[in-house]
Amino acid sequence: MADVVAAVEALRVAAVSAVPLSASRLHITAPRAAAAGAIVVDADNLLADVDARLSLAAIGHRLASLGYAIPFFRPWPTVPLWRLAMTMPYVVDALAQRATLLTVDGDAADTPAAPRHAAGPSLLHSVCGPQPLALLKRVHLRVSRRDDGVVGVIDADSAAAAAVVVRDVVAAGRVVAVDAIAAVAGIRVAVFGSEGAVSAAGARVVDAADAAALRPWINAGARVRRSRSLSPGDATAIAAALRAGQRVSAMPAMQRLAALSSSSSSPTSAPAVVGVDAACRAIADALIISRPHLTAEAS
Amino acid sequence: MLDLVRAIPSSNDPIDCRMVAHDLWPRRLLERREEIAPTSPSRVFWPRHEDDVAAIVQAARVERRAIVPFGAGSGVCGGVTPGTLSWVVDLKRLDRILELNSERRTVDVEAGIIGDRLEEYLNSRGFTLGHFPSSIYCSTVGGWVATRSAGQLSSRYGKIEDMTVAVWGVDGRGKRVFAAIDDDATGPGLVQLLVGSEGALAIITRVRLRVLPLPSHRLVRGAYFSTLNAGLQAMRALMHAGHAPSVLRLYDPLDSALAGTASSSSEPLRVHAGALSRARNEDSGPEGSEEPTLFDSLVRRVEALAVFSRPRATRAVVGELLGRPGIANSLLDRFDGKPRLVLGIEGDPDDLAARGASIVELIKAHGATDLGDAPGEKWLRHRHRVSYRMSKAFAVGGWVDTCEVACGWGDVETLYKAVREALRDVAIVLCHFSHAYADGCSLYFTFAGGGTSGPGHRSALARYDLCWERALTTIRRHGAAIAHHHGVGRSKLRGVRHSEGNLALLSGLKRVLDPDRILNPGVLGLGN
Repeated sequence: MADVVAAVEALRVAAVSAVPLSASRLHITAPRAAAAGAIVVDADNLLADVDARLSLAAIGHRLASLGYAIPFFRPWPTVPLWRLAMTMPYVVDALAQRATLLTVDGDAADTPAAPRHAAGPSLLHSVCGPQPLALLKRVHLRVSRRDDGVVGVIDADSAAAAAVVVRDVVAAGRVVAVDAIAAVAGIRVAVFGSEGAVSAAGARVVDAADAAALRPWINAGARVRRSRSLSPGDATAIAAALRAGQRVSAMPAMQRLAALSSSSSSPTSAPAVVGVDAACRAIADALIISRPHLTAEAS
Repeated sequence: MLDLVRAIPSSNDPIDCRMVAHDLWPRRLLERREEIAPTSPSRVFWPRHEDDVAAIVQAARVERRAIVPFGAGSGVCGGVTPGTLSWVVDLKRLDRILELNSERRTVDVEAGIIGDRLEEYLNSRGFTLGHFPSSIYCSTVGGWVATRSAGQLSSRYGKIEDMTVAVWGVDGRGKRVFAAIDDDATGPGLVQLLVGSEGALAIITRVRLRVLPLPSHRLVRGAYFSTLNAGLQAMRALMHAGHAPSVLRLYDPLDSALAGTASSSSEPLRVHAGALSRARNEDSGPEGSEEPTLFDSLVRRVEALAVFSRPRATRAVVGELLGRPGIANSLLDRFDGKPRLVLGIEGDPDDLAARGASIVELIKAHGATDLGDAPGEKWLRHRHRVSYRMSKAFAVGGWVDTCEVACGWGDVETLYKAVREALRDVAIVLCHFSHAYADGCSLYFTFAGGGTSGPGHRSALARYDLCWERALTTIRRHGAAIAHHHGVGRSKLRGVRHSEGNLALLSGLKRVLDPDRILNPGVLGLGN
């Protein structure tokens, strides 16, 4: 399949004909990350305009060769961005500034070209969730210059202590990215940002030769594809996620934080792309407060 | 009226209905001056809890009434424009602070609470929301969320959508709805579809917001630059370097000139006790000592030209000049202002001194001349004042309005010049650049003009409309977002050009959440 347009069509046909379509059969040919136009860096605004058929891994490696970094620690997900957005909304919520979209009816859509806007609901977020309203075609991701930042680490002896570190670093809002994961002993928190910001966070700056510092992230368990957003000040929830073996990633400038995991409830099923009207009805149902646990909370 | 809503406090008294007939959209103020009566709704309700809101919507469906949510009426885009048969739902009785969870650092509040009251409550418990729109004394939390509001410290704390953890509301079916970033069924995706919906998808009744510890100290500084471009480059460099300033505002040459001269300073950096992010900073409220407005500044400048010595004559001349912006702009071109920057950071005293030194070094590398603490402290004292002093221009036959847009750094100066040029014969245009991010910033234009009373192309209303027409056309042509934090309402509708896909998505959501199209018809470009 050449592009997202074809994928939308295939998914809709599968949905309408009630024939399950395995995700493994839904393969969209991605361009090479180094191909012309696949990734275009806007150095003025620290944005990378990327083809959403690429994975975060392909984008991250290519950007590194261009001197830029995604505000997200390795290992990067290998799933194409247009699919990752559905299971890992954190990527859209924190990293994406704007996008061109294809609605699940096949119409072109886009979002304002601005750092923030107040022109209605965020259609950028319509690509999130198991039954999206639209799919990403191209997306502007926030990036940093590699030379402008350093990596630092902070070791905590418990999930609770690490959660407080993460919460406070996010609250300070000065580093570009934060990540926490279980290490051999306790929890290791990594931060990326300017040297001053990393030092102010109380982190030990690690150099390129100190590969061991980031070893906890270099294992299969750290390769994530699902996210659950958390309130950035909720140390209790952050600690619980860390105790459950999840990574916790945050982008302090955006005040966004999420628990990341590799699990997927249905790894082989295709996204439920059934048309805009049906997806809207699903959204309306999801919002209704009569869901039992919400009724209890609301009262 | 249906039994369903009989017990809910409401009124059809013309005075009560008149009080919620419009917001602070300046066009409505112009219409009032022209004795054009606003359209009043048929009834205003004051729901006491979320169930009341649900009952009102259900009754409205039966009665086939449009519903317009009303917070404090501080909006400036005409988002509140009820028809004669509409019901207005005034949410001010939903003003409870339900829970501050200091462990999770969140606060649950009802939508009708006034922002200042919430911030004072949080400050008294050692927290801040960090959200300081200049309307904080007369705007509600629900209104903030419905319009994607931003506060003066947004470069540090983000916009309201960055603070919103969960949203409760009632949709157009009369059903209670909920979305939260940490709720698996909804997540950030659905939260961000409700935020900014301007009452067209749901009436927001309650929100959960993240809060932060109140910083203990602040450091402020002022500087000027020889060119606007140098100032913008310095702002961008500060954001890219991760300094996270709480305040970062660059005033354009005209705005800086009208503010008066300032001397360079070599005074050392001083760390002051008390955060920028407090509900009240000395006399920063709407009352207190006078801060010169645009109108006052123009008066002062005309006096400085020594053309008129009598204040009344000077004010009359300024009123006339507002009606002849081409001449006014030619005169104002003579004031060679230097773009002035105000910045402020918050934190622990030791950290602030080091960060402050680093920041001053960075802006000096971009050609800044240090002005010391004075500009920043002055801004802090008067920061909420200006919004309450716009009426002087209206009193002499003029008008004033503001327009906040956003774009990437590379387009900021071009857009600024283009808007000024497009409006040169229609309005005096001032601008400041605030709400800075790594990937761009907001341009906050102030338009001031005049015109004759009554109908005709030279009338104040016609000139006002022409000003907006040209501004929005220019903004769209440059690819900028037509709104950064005021919302769309009616004033910016003509700037909305939905692509087929955008319209399909918004219309699809509207169809399922508001099947009878009764929720705030006419906003978001979804038609009536």
